[in-house]
Amino acid sequence: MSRVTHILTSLNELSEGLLEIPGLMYVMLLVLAVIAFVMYRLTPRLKMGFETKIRIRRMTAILMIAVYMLFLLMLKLFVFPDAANTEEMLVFGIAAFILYFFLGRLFAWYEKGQKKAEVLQPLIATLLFLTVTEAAKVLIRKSAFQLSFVGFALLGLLLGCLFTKAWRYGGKKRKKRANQIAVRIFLSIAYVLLICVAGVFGTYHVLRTNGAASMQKNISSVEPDLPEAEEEEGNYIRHDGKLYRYNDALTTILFMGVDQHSDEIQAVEHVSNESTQADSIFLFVMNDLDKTCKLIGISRDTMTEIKTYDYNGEYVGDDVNHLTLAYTFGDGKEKSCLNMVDAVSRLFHGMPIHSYVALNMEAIKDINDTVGGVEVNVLEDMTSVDSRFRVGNQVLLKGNAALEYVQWRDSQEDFSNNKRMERQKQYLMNFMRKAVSVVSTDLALPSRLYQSLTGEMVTNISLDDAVYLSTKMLSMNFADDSILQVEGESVRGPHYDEFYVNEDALYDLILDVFYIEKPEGGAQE
Amino acid sequence: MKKKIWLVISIIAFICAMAIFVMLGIRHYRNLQAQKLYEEYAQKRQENIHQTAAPESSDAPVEIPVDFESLQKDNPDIYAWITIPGTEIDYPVVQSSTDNAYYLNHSVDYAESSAGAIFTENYNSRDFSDFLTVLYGHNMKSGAMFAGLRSYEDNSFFESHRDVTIYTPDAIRKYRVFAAYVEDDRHLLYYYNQGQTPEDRRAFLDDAAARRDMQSIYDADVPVDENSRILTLSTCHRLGDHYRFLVHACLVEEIK
Repeated sequence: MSRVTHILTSLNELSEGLLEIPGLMYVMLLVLAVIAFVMYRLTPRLKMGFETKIRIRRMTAILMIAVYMLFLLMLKLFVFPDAANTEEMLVFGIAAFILYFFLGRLFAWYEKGQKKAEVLQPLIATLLFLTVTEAAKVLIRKSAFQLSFVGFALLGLLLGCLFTKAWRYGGKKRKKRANQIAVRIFLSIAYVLLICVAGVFGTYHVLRTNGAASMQKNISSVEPDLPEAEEEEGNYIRHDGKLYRYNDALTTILFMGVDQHSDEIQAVEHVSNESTQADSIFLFVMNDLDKTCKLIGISRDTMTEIKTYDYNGEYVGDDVNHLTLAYTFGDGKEKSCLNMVDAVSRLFHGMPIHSYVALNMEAIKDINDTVGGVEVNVLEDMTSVDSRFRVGNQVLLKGNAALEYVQWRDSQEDFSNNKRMERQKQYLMNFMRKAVSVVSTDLALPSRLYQSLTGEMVTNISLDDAVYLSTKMLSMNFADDSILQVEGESVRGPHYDEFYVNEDALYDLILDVFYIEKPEGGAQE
Repeated sequence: MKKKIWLVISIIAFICAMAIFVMLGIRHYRNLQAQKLYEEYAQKRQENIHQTAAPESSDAPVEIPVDFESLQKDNPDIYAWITIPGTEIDYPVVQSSTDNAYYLNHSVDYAESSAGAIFTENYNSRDFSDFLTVLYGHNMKSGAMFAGLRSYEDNSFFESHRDVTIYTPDAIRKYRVFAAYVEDDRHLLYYYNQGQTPEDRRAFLDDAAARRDMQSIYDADVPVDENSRILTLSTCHRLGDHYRFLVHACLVEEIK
């Protein structure tokens, strides 16, 4: 993985770590900070002796420092993981610098009442504090002592203290005015820069958590007949003597490759629309827990219960039919996609689906070329389409060739869709690999791609979501066994091929992909 | 002054704590008594099994291995017995003629007990001739009453424990388990109109078969239709008050 990936991953980790701090802590710290601030503001107005006022002021300053240090402790324990490489070390170092810079400012504020601004005392105090927090982290999280972090932090603290000194220097009434102005300007710029960096990270964090939240909503209306039980007790199932829990850290997206079938006459009843069908159906499952992705291929000819509509678009009931028709029974846009989402979710025993992407097969040409073409080892004799498509040939698919490789099937042959699915799986795997390697060197690619495809796809994923997803993808593992298939039996139906799912195999597949085996005996994760 | 207040508070707290202890103790004792009672009954039945012989001719009525006479002397509400081999479920079945909720918190010796008894409501006839007969029982942490039904959540247990036997004074009825799943707390007999019309019966069967979540088990190979006689065992589910765990079985053999 490249440098940029490392930086992104480390930012991701910081962002996610921030979420792990219990909300209660944030509230507590905020309340204490507000109290301290109010006290600080109120004391001048109270009728007390000058000495008392100063003492109170210093106490509030200490309180603020204590609150902030508690906050830093939380960050240390919850947020900062061990830096795995130099880029991460740099990112965490910068974060440490900024955080402790502000601590330095707080110390300087504390010393406001005094004549001599000390630097040594805060420095030693912070060094002790850092040692203690690092030790705490080592003990509690069993990680390593991060010297680089301490270094950056101390530097930040030093500069924070000196900043105030320098600022005051800039404000003193002296003869050499030019120097003072220069100093103040320099400091102001530096300060603004610092706040900008913190602000950018803050924005990134907010966007990311929002993106994460919106990606986590189940859009299928197939109610799992049971609620998401909060208690540990309710939320597991038993199978073959083992205990399983649904994995909450999954993001499931339904991908559909859609095409017009104007040359085929729809001999199926109750078709309400023209002949757009979803030819390729894939479930993409991102597992945030073990950082893996799985792609599950589902045959368009799967016979399963789908919502059926009449010519007027009225719902007439559920009936067993080809899965692909769930798309056809819709408006060719959102309604079709949601119908498909419901059908697939139902097929998968009520597994939640968070998003959908319906892509016109034509768009594959553009996507294919954007990553510079995809190489495949030809699986089926397709020389009638392209002379290069001889079994065993290594071909770099570009433009139309890519479309033909994944779309064509021998309509004279029985169950030719199954062979096509093999080619689609192979293409997808090679595409994913190529895409990941290209994106890591060209980070703007996902958003450019999204923009260019806007006319050709129907999706509920926004640009922000897409960017969020692509940053997540970079840290995911995509191994050979990541592409799965729903197993079953192909049967020659009255009009078209039919595919009947092997229910036992599907159940096992769902357990494998969507569930976590819970060790018996109460051991929690 | 301050000290006095604290004294009063601590005394009150102490009394409350004692009261709670005592109540818990009483409940625990009652449960133990109920447990003992059921064990006695089960033992009696075991003795009865050894005493009964196989029917000699098809004309002679079958010998029922449950001493209903003595059971009904203790409590005339006892009219059947349920056994599921491989589980702890081996209990008398009662039906109160006056209060359908009585046996939720009374055991078969009329004593108050949070374990209650296995019972049916008076909507069901006592000869199991209804389309749908529903037996209710608590899901006790101790494993007593219908807690044994929970084992049916696992498919391998489901497949190896398909037999439920009901004894009544006049017959032995054998049922075959065909479904196990979690349902909301709808009152089955109300909801499906006690299966009075074929449509009601069809609706019940379709709902049982239509479940497609990871927790439900349904064996489509068991032949059930509107003419079957269904036995449903219902107990509480850990998800809460609004859910029930149901095990459906259909009548396969009736020996009179």
